[in-house]
This record gives sequence, C-alpha cells and structure tokens, in this order.
Amino acid sequence: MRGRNILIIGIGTLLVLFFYYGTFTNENQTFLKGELFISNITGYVAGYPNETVNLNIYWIKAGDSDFSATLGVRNLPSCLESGGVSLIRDTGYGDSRIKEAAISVRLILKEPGRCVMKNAYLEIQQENYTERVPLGRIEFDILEPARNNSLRITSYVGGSIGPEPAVPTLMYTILNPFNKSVEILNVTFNIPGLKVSNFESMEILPEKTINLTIAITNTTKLGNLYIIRPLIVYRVGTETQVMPAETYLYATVPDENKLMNMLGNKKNVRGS
Amino acid sequence: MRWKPLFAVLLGLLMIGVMAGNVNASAIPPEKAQPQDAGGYWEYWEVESVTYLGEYYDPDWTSCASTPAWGGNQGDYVVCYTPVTVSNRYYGNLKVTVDALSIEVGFDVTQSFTRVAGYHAIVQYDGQYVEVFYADVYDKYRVIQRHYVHIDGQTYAGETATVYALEWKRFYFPVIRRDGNIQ
Repeated sequence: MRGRNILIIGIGTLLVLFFYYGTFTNENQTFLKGELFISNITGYVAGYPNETVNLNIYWIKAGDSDFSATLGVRNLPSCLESGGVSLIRDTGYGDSRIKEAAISVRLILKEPGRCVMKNAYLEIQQENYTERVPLGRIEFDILEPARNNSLRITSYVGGSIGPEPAVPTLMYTILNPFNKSVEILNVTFNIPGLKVSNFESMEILPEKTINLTIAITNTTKLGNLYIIRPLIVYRVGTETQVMPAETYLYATVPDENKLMNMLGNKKNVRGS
Repeated sequence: MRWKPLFAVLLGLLMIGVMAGNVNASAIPPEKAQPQDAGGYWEYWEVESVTYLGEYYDPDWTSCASTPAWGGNQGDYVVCYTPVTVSNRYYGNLKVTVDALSIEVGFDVTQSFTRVAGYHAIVQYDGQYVEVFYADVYDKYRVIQRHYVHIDGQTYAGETATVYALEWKRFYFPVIRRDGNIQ
C-alpha cells in the first residue's frame, strides 16, 4: 500500500514537471518565433495612368531572426502593375527583442477606369516557409489623362502614424492658377466606414490660395491602415472639373507594450 | 478543536487591517492640511472639471527631409525616418500639483518617450521641390481648477484657473511641393 502511494506521488510529480516545462518552454518558443503583419489596407485612390501609389504595411518580429526574404506582390487586378517592393527597418523599439520593418509596395496605375484591389497579397519567401500577407481592399478610380491646367496643391498633410487610433483629417493648401474664381464643390471618396462630414463649398479667388480641411467621421470601428486619395470636384466658370488630391496614408501601429501582449497571443491578431 | 486559536489569530489580523484602513481613509489630503494659524485660515486649489476637446494638431512642424533647393528627379523619394522624443505636456495656469493634474486627466502629463517618425513622398516631376515635415497629434483636455478659502470653519469657493493637458497620440506629416529654384 505504501509503495503504491509512493508510485502515485512520483507519477504525479513527473506529470507536474512535464506540464510545467512543456507549457512554459513552448510559450517561450512561440514568443521568440512570433511575428505579425499589419497589412489589411482599406482605401480609395483617384489618379491618372502611370502614376505611382505606395502602400505601407508593417512586419513585426520578436527574437533574433531577421527580415531577409524574397518579396513579391501577387494577384493584382489588371488596372494595376507592381512597381517593386522595398523594406525599411525600424530601430524605434527600446526592447531589442522586438523589431519592426515597414514594407513599401509600389503600385503603378494603368488604364483609365474603376477597379477594386481585394485579393492581392504580398508573398514572403523565407528559408523555411512562405507567407501570404493580404493587402486589403482598395478602390482605384483612374481618370483619363489631364487635359490642361488644374488647381495646384502646394502643401498638404500626407499621412498620420502612431500607436493610438485617430479619425483621419485631410488638409490641403490649394492654389487657383486660373484668372477667374474657382468654387470647390466637393471632396469625395468611397471607403466603407468613413465619410466626409459637413463639407461646405469654398471659393478661391484668382491666383490665391485657401486652406481646406476635410473632417471625416467613421461609421464603423477604425481600421489600422487606410489610404485616401480623394477626388476634388470644382467649378471654373460654368465648367465642372475633377482632379485627384494628394495621397493620405494612415497607420496605427501598436507600441512596444501592446506588441509584447499581441505577440504572446499571435493567433488573435493574425491578419489584423 | 485546533482551529479555534487559528481563527482567533486571523480575526485579530483582520481587525488590525480594518483599523489601519480606516486611519488611512480618514487622512486629510495634503493640499488641505494647512490649519497652522490660530484664526483657522487656509486655502487650496482643486480640479473642478476635465473636458475632452478632441484631437489637437500641433502647428509646430519640424523639417525632416527634402530634395535639394533646385528640386529632385521624377520618381525620386524624399524619405523621412527618424527617432523623435515626444511627450505629453500641459500649458496654461497650473494651480494644482503636476501629480494631481496627471491623476485627474488619467495620464502622466510630463511623460516623454521615443517614437520613429517615418514617411516618404515621391517627386512628381523633374525640378519639383518636396519637403517632408513631422508634427504631433495630441488628445487635448481642458482642466478647470477652482480656488477655495477656509476661514473659521467656513469654506468659500473663489476664482478659477484653466490649464490644458495634451496626451501625445501620433505623428502627422505635412508635405510642401513647389517648383525648385533655378540654379
């Protein structure tokens, strides 16, 4: 009877040790090999053929592995063509276990028309695996090449990035190069969950500039990545014209503390 | 019944804990504990209200990268990628302590940290000058503080003072484009 008790206690101790080391060692390995991508972009881009658009996605890693890989863009719609991929390494995190790289995907607009990029992905080939990172959903509105003179945007806010979300705000300084007044009728884009709020038309006197701020409201929870290049609709005399504004890139990238938690629960944030 | 002595000890410890808690709870906040003069006079400031005012785009831009003054080549990129020390902050007429202000707004109003400002802009045509700046976006709060005077057992509300607290949130990137200067 006593021998049997000792045997049960011994087996119990071994089981406890097994679960302890098994669980904690595996968690540690998961963390060290952990990585996540912030890549699902939502957006609208107006532009002209042959113009270039850059999409930024974020590749975050924990541990000693590096960012060496073969990168390629796949499954683009016919209105777009890949202009290459480049990688910028971040040195911003104080904790050396976390590294971040921004991947810039360059797209070239092709023929005029509307198209939606929704199945494109970035293929990342490393030594042991191949990863497909979805690029999200972006509507492209490619205009016929510009005929002649148009309004000029002399300064603008080109983007916003940080650890905390904020509703995007578009700001442009617009010069009227015409010898008659111009009326800005509207600024439009088509992005699910975002809309322009309370836009009022504005007049620009000949050869003068105005500062135009476009307030946006979100009707759904904000995403992590947006690209917005709206259309400006304006009237010169009796003629109504449109032109693409400048591109606005929005990114919410978690800070170090949040990343530590996210990397520990990678399955919950994959493809966020 | 060996549990009785143990129960008595636990009960005793519990009573000591409750008494210590009561003593602590009745402690007078430091800013009010000034009844030093014989006339019973003291004064203090308290935060009366905190109002969230929305996002604040700091108009103070810092230049980060640019083409040469005579402009760049079409397709070139002007790349801004730099670590920046950013911080929460406050301005205005602060009357309560910095710690009290931090507690009321829910963040450390003096905390600073490092973040990378990263953005790039393309040169659209030969000879175009492009300059990229970075600037800060904050959440902005208005904090109203009120002055109180205590005289001989009566407390009187006095004037108010306003201080603004800014919680750093993210960068924004203004871009300037124009024709480059002719060499």
